[in-house]
Amino acid sequence: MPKEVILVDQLFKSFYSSKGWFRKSLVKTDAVKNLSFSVCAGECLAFIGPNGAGKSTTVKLLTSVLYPTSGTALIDGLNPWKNRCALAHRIGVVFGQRSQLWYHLPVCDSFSLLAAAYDIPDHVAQKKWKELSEMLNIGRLWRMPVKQLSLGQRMRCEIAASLLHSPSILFLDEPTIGLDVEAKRILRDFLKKEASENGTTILLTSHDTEDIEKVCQRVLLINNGTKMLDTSVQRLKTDFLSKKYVRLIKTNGDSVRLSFDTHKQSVQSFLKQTDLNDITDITIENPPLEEIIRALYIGGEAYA
Amino acid sequence: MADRQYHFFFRLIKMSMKQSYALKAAFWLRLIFMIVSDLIMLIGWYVMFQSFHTINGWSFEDFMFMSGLNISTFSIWTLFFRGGGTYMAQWIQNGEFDHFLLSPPNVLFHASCCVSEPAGWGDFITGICLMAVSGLVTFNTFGIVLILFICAVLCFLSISFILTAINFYFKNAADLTERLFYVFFCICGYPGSIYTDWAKVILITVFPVGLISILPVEILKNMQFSSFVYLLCATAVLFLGSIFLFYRGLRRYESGNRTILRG
Repeated sequence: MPKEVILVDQLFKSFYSSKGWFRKSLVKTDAVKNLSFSVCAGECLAFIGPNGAGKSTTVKLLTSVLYPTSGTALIDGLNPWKNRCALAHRIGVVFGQRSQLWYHLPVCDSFSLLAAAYDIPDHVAQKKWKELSEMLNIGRLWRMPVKQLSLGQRMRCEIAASLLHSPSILFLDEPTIGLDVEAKRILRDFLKKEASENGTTILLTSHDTEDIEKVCQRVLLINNGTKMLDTSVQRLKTDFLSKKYVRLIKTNGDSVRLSFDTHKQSVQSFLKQTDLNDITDITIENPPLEEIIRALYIGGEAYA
Repeated sequence: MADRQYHFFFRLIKMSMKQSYALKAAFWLRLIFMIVSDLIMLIGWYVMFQSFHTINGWSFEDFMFMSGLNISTFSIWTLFFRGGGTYMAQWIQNGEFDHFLLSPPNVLFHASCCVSEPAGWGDFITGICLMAVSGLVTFNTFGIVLILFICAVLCFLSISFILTAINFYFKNAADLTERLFYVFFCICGYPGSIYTDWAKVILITVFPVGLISILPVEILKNMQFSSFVYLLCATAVLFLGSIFLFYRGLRRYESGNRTILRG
């Protein structure tokens, strides 16, 4: 059984804001409520949920950016709020909306500083950069100022920067936000390879279902700071799927797309009532993952 | 461990300076105009001292030394620790402090050292020249001046850390930090001798601007050992206290989700 590298137990985080002009009262917002889960070494977990569900707050709690109100967590055996420095050496973090690269300076300068921050000798950092730049196709960006990079190029450099110290756990908060199709593909392929070849554990939050499908094996859905669902991507598709799409190809080449709910109607009865004359081919498909997740967001409580 | 940290901070300061020099024309203009601005301030006080000769026992030379010490201290902060104070206050207020918490080096100094302002070179040149021509720095007093300078830099840093830490305890306090900095600079800009009795007591205790502007000149003029010991102790307490206050406050930090690029 692989070792559990992320262990979260009853994690709770509340934010307070004051209300009123004269008699001020504190308004409490619970961003994360008694969240518990674990992730094994080498596993890729998709951490999903609608906006404001508490995904980013959880990532920030686990990476020592925020202190919890209560609860415990162990990341690679370390308490994130007591061992910030040691933890920083073991984890890599990418926030889609944040940059760790220096805007006016060439990419190489930021990498040189990161190498010093992580105490990596320059020749080792160079070697690692070469490795990463080949995989992420960013070799020619080395001397380019960050301000001249496109969003996709910058994001690939961000990923390389967060892997420079070879972390065993990678936290990615919406890494594909705003990227074009090709940039997304390169990133997903890279992350998949990183997990399978180097055994890097990945915790990824994203609103893009393809990120989840292509990179992760497991999905953890949270809403209002509470865990709603924890299952494998495969089971998500089969267990939470009653709707089927049927594509019928007619002899004249036209196609018809029909759908039915297996909870309400059996496949046999559906086929019986469908006019199959003139049909040369038939395909039964599951709905795309996006549809399943949308259904879970809307009726999330039903799956708790 | 300490060795590695020095290596990182050396590289960080080098990079923040490189970043400030990335816009060359702006760099040189700010440097030159900072010298001009300091000289204009000095000419005003020179005219004043021509009329009154001394202000509560302080001559123009004493004032020059005080200004030189203030300006050069300020320049060290601007050149090497400019991230502290108003910048850091903004980062905390806007929840943009995450990067420093995710990186292994010391959070407070990492954030402080990552910004350098070119105007600091102008201040540094002016400040050193003013101290040198004040007549208070001689071969015999050089050692003590150096200690006073180090204490002044530490006090200045401590005050910037405290004013930054306010933002952990109060929401939307970045503007307050900036205002308090102005008050601080304002008090520092006048001859220390105008502050007497209770005002002086306040300025060397609760609002410790006097540790930079009043005490060093008095120590150098009168060679008061007790004041010197007080300055050393007060600096140490202030420095350690400010670091403690910052890290206590850091636990209350609330991250944000604004799109951020460094520099």
